[in-house]
This record gives sequence, structure tokens and C-alpha cells, in this order.
Amino acid sequence: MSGNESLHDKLVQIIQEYDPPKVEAVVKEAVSVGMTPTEIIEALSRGVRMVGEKYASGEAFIAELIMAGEVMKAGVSILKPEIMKQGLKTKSLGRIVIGTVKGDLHDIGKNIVITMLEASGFQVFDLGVDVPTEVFVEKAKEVNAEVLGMSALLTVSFPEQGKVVEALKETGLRDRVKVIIGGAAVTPEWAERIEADGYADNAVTGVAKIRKLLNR
Amino acid sequence: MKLSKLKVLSDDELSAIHDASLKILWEVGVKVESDKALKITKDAGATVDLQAKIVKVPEYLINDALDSAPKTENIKFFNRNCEVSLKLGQGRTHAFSGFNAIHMLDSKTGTRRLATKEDVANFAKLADALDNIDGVGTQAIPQDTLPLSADVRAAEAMFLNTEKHLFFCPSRVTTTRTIFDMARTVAGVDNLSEAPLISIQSSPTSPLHWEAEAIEILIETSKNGLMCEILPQPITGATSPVTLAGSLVVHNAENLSGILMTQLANRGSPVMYGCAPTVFDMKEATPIIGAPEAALLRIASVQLAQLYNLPSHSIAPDTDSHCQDEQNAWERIITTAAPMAAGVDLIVNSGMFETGLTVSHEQLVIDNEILGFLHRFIRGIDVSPDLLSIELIKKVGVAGHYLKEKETLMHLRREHWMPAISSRATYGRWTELGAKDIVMKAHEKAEKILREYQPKPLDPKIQEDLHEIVKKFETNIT
Repeated sequence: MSGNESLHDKLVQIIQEYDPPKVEAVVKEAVSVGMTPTEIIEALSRGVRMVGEKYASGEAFIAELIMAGEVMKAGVSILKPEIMKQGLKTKSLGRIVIGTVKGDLHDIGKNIVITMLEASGFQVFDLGVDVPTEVFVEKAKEVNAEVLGMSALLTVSFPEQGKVVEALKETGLRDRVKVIIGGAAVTPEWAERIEADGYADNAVTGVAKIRKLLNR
Repeated sequence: MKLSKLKVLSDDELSAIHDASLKILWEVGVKVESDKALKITKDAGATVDLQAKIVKVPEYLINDALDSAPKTENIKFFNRNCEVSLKLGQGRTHAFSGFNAIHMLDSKTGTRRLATKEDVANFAKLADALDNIDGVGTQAIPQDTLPLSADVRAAEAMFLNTEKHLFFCPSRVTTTRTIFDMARTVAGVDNLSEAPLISIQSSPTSPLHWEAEAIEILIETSKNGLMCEILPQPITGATSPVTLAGSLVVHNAENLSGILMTQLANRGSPVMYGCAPTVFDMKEATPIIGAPEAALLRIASVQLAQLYNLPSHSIAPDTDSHCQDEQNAWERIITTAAPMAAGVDLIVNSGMFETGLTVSHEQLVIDNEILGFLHRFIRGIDVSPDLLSIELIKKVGVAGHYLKEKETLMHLRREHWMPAISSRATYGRWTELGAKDIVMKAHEKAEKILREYQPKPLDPKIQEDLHEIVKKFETNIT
């Protein structure tokens, strides 16, 4: 297995070259020597996690972390046919539905959180921006989400976060899903007021809080 | 382009100050308390009253000295390894740690105490590790030695703990000569001008007065072909006119008298024009350096140095505050940014506060950060077809983001300054990281460096030889 081992290291390392065409070549090589899609994805995720750790400790830039996520996506997209063919299910740490609430178009912060969550091994369903209450609820139900994350930058769009929590209660989903809210201006007091389970004003803390909420 | 050069004097105003200084040098002259210096100036053609020790300098001697002094772009500083470590005239202000403080604010106890030899060694080590500190000045005059050997003991601690260029302001000719012996031993040369790894500062006593030791240190330095930094510090309203223009006339005359002496001692020896006129606080009756007038006077004096095409040095960052508070921060930013934006070649004083009397590890680390910030600020904005990024803007289009574009990573480090200790985190993350203010962070960084960093050791034989020189010097003075 030494060939596979060195290829495994190569997959981990290639993430930090931030060059999608390069990663595609290495993934194809890994497939050709018989590494399974699961093994390959795990190696790539490890590479992204390493960048995530560097980012958390102040050694890497957010642009590098986002690039790492992009490089991983490029690598994984090559595996899609293989995954379909083998009918593989990828393991994940948990299913998270995430979006920016209705009336708010800010998504940089949300995208950073998504990159870090995916790097940590979560399966993330991104609803994008300007997401209406019912879309959050429907998606959470559809994928049996364990966590629902809502981003809002504008203080005027904060009430939308409260509406989603109310709608979860009405549909009987509230007990099955943890709600976490985020955004630079979101406060712990606000999170408490709308009865969210957690709040974070930055991505590193956000991921840590989600892991804590799920005990993972 | 680079940030436009900061100016406070028009060409006509510069000429007026220059002409007035020449008039003062000829009609009033300077008092020089050294027979050796008086003889040199008399032989050169100055009108000298040996009794009164007054030297009246004709204009042609000043012009001749300004001609022979090396121009900024030809000046190089060496380090302990005898390599060129700094080249002047490249558009960068070099910053040295310093300088000659008496007290140390000890963060372990939170109190101010007298500085020691060990402090000088630790400061040299810190300065050696900090990126934006380009040379090392005597951070403090150690108070735990014989007063006369303080300069020499400090020099030994500095040679041992940093490879960077060293900057001294010795108090005596004898200590100056001893420091030169040490430098020759370290460099392994007989002629220090071949490897100028140290430079020397000397100051007249305003107004228009050179003490014997000060002028003879200057002569000794120039004879050895080493850089002499002249630092007149006339105090507005006390040792120079209260008007800023009048203070500049005295200041310029003092600089020119020092420049003349370096060139008479050794034609072609390097000399730096000092840019640190000082202000007097008429309520406290104290000289101060963190004032807006001090910042203006620095810009004006840098302009005078540039008029003569001579290298310039100033004291900065400066503050009169007694601690690391807001006053400290605003005074040191303006007194550092002003001469830097004017294009000063060298600033000496990183690590000090309280009008130069006290130093701290935290202040030196904070100054390293401020210097990074200001270097970036002065560098300005580059515009090229590539940097305009038109293709990239078209590619990302509307409502996307630039975080995943390779150009972002490619240009990031050159376009943006990366702070080492400034806080830029969100409130949540800042509190998670311990809610530390800048002084606490600077303290941690200083402690880490002092604990983990090892400067390149000096050859053990050279260490022994240096110590022998110190011992011999101390035997001779006791």
C-alpha cells in the first residue's frame, strides 16, 4: 500500500497549492491506482482541515481557506460518476441547512462558515441568500437536518431569524433541529430572545459551537 | 505612486533659513571648547578667537564641506558580519532601536526601575528578532556599572546579542575609542571604514556651543571614516528662539558647524544631518518631543538635509507620555509618520517613551508593529494594467466574490500589510482569545522572543577579546 500512502499524502498536500487543474490530475491518478472515492475525499478533506486549522491559528488567510474549499470541490467533482456508479454514501459529521435570511443579500460570512464546516466533515445544504422562512423549514424537513444556520448582516433583517424559529415550532420540527445564528452584528442577547440554541460572530467559533451543540 | 513627499517649507523659505544660518555662523559663530578643534578650524581659514573659543565660519568653508560630504545614495551601513545591511537613498526610512534611556518599565513588576546591563542585552536580543528594526542603538545607559564604563559595558552586551548595525552615543572620547577597538576586534579589520558596522551620534549644546568631548568624539569618529550622526536639539524658547523659523536657523547653523568639523577632520567622511529640534513646555518647564511643533520641525529639517543632498536622521517614535496610553500612541504616530513621509533616511528611538527617559520591551514590540504599518502607508498605491484587474472584475462579474480567485492570493501579501499583534478579530473571537489589549499582546510576544530566540553567537574567541578590552578599560579608569 506504500504507493497509495504516498498518493494519500499527495492528495492532502495538493490542497495547499490552490490550483484546481493540479488536483484533478492527482485525483485521476488516485482513481487509476484503485483508491476508493471515500479514501480520496477523506484525504482531500484532511488537506482542507489543515488549512482550516492554520486559519484558526492566524497562520493562513481566509482567501487560502476558501481556495482550499474550491480545490477540494474540483477534486470531488471528478469522483461524482464513480460515486454514482458505486452507489456510495459519504459519511458526514452531521447535516446542516444554512442560508442568509430574507431581505439580506450578504453571503461572504456564510460562505466562509460553509467552507469551514465542509472541511470539518459536515454535509452542508446551502440555500443561498434572501431565503424565505418556508424554504428554510422545507429543506430542514427534507434532509432531516440536525442544524439550521441563519446568517444576517443587516439589523433590519434580524427579525427574519425569529420568524424561522417560530415556523419550526409550528411545524413541530423545533425539537429535532438545533438553530444557530450568525452575522457580525448578531448578539448573544438576540439569540436568547428568539430562542436560538447558539450564536457566533465569526466562522471559527461558529464551527466550534455547532460541534458542541451536536456533541461531535 | 508613492505617498507624495511631505513638505512644510517652500524653496524660498528653505533658502531663507539657509542664508540666515550662514549669517549667524559668520557674525556670531559657534563656541568650541576644544583646542584641537579650534586649531583645525583656524588652519582651514575660519576666524577663530582662541581666547573666547569662538569660531566664525565663512560661507565658502560651509559650501566646501557640503561638497565633500558623501551624498545620501552613496551611504551604506554594515552589520556585525561585515556585510552591507542597509543602503540609504532607496526610498526607505530605516529604524533603529534606542536610545540612551535611564529607566526601564519592568512589566513583571509594573514599575519603573533603573536600567541594567542585562536589560541592554535583552533589548539587543529583542531588536535582533524584530523585522522592522534595522539597527540597534544603546537602549539604555546601564546604571549598574561604573558610570564611566556604562557605554563600554552596553556596547559589549550589544555586540554579543545582535548581528545588526550598532549605533552609539558615547559620553567620552576614551569610551568612543574603546568602542572602536571592540568594533575592530569584531570585524577583524584595522581600518573601520572598510566595514563600518557601527555609527556614532554626537550633539552640540544649543545654542551654538560644542563641548570638548562632543566635538572631539565627532573628530575621532570622522578620522576613523565612520558615520557621524550630528544631533542638535535646540529647544524652542529656551535654547533657541521660540519661533519655529528662528529655532530652525539655530538648528541648521549647529548642523552645518558639525558637518564642517567632520569634513575638516577627514574630508569625505560620512555625516548625517540631524532632524530633531525640540519644543519647550512653558508650563512644566520641560523639553518635550511629542508636540505638533516637533513634528513640523522634523519635516522642515529633513527638507534642509535634502536641500544639501545629505542623509538625514531623526529621533522617533517619540512621546512625552509616561506609559503606553492613547497620548503615547497619537504622539508616536505623528512624530514618526511626519519625518518618514518627508523622506528621512534613519530614525532612532524605537522602544522608548517618557521623552526618551524610559524604555520597555512592550514598547519596542509595539514600535515594530507601528513601523510595519507606516512602511506600508508610505509605499502608496501601485497602478498598472495588471493591478487594475479589469479581466478579473469581468470574470467575477456582479454579486459574486473575489475570495476564491487566484489573483487574490497572488497580490495579497504585496498589496496589504499583515499586522503581527494588532487586534482585528470580531468581539466574540477577541474575547475567546483572552480579550488582550495591545500592551498585553506585545508583552507576550516579547516574552516569547526572549525565551525562545537565540541570536547568532559571536565567536567565543572574539567574546573573550571583547571582555578583555572592557576589563582593561575599567582598570585604566579606576
